[in-house]
Amino acid sequence: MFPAKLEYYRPEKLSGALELLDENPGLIVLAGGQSLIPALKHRRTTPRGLVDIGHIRELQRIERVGNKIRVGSLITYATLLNNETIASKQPVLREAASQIADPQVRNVGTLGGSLCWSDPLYDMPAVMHVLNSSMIIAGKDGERRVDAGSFFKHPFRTTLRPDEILKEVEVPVKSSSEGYAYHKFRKGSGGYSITGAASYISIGDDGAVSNCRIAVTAPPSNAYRSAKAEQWLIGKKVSAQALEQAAELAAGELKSTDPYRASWNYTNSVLTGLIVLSLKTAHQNASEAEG
Amino acid sequence: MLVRTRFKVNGGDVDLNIEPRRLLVDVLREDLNLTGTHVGCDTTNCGACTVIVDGKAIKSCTMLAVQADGRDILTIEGISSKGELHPIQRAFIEKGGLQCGFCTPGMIMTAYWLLSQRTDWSEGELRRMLSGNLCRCTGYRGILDAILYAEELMKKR
Repeated sequence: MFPAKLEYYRPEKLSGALELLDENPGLIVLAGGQSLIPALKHRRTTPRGLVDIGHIRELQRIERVGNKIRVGSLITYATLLNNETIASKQPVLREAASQIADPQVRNVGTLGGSLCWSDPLYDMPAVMHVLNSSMIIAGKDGERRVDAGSFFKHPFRTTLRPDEILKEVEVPVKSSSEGYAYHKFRKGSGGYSITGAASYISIGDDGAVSNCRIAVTAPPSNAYRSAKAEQWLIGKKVSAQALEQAAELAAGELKSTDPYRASWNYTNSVLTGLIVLSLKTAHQNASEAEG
Repeated sequence: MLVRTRFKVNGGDVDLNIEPRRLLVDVLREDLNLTGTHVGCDTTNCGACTVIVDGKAIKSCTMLAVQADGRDILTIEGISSKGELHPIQRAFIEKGGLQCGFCTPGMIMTAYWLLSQRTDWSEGELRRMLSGNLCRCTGYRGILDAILYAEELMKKR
């Protein structure tokens, strides 16, 4: 298999890439290519050409700015696994990356590329939701910010315009009273998620949950956040029963499943367990840091 | 549209005008005659096409050849020196790490990358790190034995 005929441009700078996109409608951005190249080979997408941003240095940085970390959109999963700042300041990115695809794909696949692809089978959108991350998007008229909550529109659709490029993803530095976690259930090693659960818990001085976020990887729909479960859990002391109840509320909001992969009942029951597990891990991560 | 693309393969310079839609594995096999790199599934699953680009194992069926511009590529043909097999290759022969041999170049390149990262891999770690390479005949036992043995051979060198 090979793609249909393509134009190809290899700019060295972000400004050059933006100009190319602006002046040549029909060009799309190539990052690591681990989603796009298979789609080109199957000819599910047949763009006029590619703007290969793989050589742009300014998109390959991980930078701490105050209590935020800015992750360049070209940062690969392998880098998320090996980076010091990520390991110490926001380890959930490392945890999630370790569960994605296989080593070769992780060596090339980028965080930004997978987010822009907005594939409901992918894990990072749910993680972005619980991190409350911001997408920093570059366009010809400057930069704009979009919250994870409004970045993903539909499966394979984001709010990114064709002439824009996702530049960085901004995530918070984890504080000592906070914990995050992501757990997924997949078919086979390196397989896509049947479902997955991302959690964030912040513990107040009184030992109760002062804030929390729960997000679910829910193919064939995009990842969703369960406001109902979050509101229910806030203010409660963490107990097995409380986590179970929150998990049931969040899993109940699962819309549909792909029946060729797993039924709704099956997915719902696996998901409830995964949410409990991720809330537990997040809670552990929050209390561990206290000591 | 042809795009001038320069990269290194197994230490030698390559300078080609390439159609952008061509995959790295196809250019390696068809233009450079490096047919040791195999096309198995052609869908980023099996890892038979694994080569090393700038020190990292990647699947060459899922990289355009034009993306390799400026990069340093190592294929199965480049790991032996002066006609002598690399210790990983010797270990695969001695431990029976193959039956039909189709997945072997990919297995060996992934092993090469792993062993270039660090030593003292546990079998469990190796199992996880080989998740991007499929073998349909051996059941992986011989492959794991071969990589563990290769590590010993390389320590002795």
